[in-house]
Amino acid sequence: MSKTLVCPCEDVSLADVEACLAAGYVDLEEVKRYTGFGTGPCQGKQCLLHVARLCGERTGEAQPFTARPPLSPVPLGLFAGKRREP
Amino acid sequence: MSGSPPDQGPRHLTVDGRRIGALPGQSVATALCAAGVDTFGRSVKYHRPRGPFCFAGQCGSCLVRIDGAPSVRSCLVEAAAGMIVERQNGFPSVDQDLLSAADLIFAGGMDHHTIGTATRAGSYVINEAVRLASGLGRLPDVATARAPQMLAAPETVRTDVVIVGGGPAGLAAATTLARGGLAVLLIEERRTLGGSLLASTEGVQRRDWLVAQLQSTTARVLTEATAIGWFGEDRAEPQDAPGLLAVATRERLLKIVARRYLYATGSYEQNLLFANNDRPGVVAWRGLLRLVHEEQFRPEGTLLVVGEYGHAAAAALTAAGLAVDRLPVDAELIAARGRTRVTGVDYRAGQGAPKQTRRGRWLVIAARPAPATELLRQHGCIVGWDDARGGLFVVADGEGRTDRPHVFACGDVCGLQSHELSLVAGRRSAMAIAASLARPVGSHE
Repeated sequence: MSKTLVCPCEDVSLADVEACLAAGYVDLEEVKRYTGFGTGPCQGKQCLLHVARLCGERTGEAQPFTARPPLSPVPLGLFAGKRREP
Repeated sequence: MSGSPPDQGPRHLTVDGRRIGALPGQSVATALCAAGVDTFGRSVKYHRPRGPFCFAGQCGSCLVRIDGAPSVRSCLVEAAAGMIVERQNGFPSVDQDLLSAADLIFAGGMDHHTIGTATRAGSYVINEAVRLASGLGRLPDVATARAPQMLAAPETVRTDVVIVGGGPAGLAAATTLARGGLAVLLIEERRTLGGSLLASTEGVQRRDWLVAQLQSTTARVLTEATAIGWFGEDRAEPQDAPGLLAVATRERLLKIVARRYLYATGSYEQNLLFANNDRPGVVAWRGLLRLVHEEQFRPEGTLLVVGEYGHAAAAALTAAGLAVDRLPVDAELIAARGRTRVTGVDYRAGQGAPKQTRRGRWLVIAARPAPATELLRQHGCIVGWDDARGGLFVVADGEGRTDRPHVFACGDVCGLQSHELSLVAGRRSAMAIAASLARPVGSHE
């Protein structure tokens, strides 16, 4: 089917974001929580600006969301690497 | 350089059991594209076919399973002999995926807050169904996955200055700082230095020169190292900036404690908004050009080029001997054609104009990139918005100072700029950092 993807990682379409905005969730953090955009492997590198622009059209100000680590996908083992015995 | 000369011959890997060849220096993503693989995997919700877009580790579209580790960004991993690559997230297979029915059933989108919520039983059934069907890839094969087994204990690294990003700004800054006698650590996410310079042949020459300059200094360079976050809570030595920069390498987590942090993180490839903009074959211009210049990739068929930077992209691709068809500057994209990969594009030449179609195997998106501001936002630096400079950018003065002590920024992250300006900004930031550490860099710089 034909879809315009705003956030390909989480499969959030332009229609999804527009429905969210129409429902009254116009703050970027609200849109993130409602649609899940920006929470996939790229962590917003592909979608943040698209959605910030759409929100900015409603609120008058384009703002980013909070950038939380890890900013890129990493294996969990990275944080629990084996300690080497001396 | 030490050790034995690198292997120059082709190596073989398998993709879903099929043997394919890869040239030295090619990533897994490049090798798959060269072997004619269109669909790398299926998307998380609608199970739409996906293939690489950015070729730069900045999107989530090229994920595959490599040697038992799921959801690996295949554009960042060099293809190696004997590698076992599996395309992921298709049921029963990536090519014939029954779960892609979700794309038809939820043609108008999916609001998971309201599906099946009319009755308690309906809600239960939907929840269980979603739990079964959702997710991306399968858990790692513990016995064979390379990544979790090879990781060593995290290590703390201290340095005078850490520079994040090995593009023009970062390379220029690292050379200048190291010549000034400071301990410099340059980290770069990709396998090769150069960043956005790699999108043109002139840029590649400039990169080679900058890297040669850098190699004549004591600066330490780490490639395949990704800064994954700034952690400001952990108090370090009082004279240091309080906190640490977490950097993921292939071997371990590095906790970098520096006296100054310089972010030359550049900018991310961006897609345009049009129907089926996620089709395999829709690719970012700078990523594709880097593959052409650095990874011996020759895309077959016509390359349709569209977007604000279409002129530069088309010129560079044509110079590389590729078949380019550039859409008009004011083209408004309607939809990508093709079911499992791009076969063309529908567009209008300006508002209100009739729909037209062009045929091609690749749709090269030459859109305005977006400054990579995350790490500076984590530091709490002030950001601004200017559409002409790529949207969100970090506010810094002409010498790279942000509003946070110890934190500097230069290049595209401060608003899109030319390579020339990035080089100047890198040098000027380096001099400001050296001065702030009471070690001015010599005037011969």
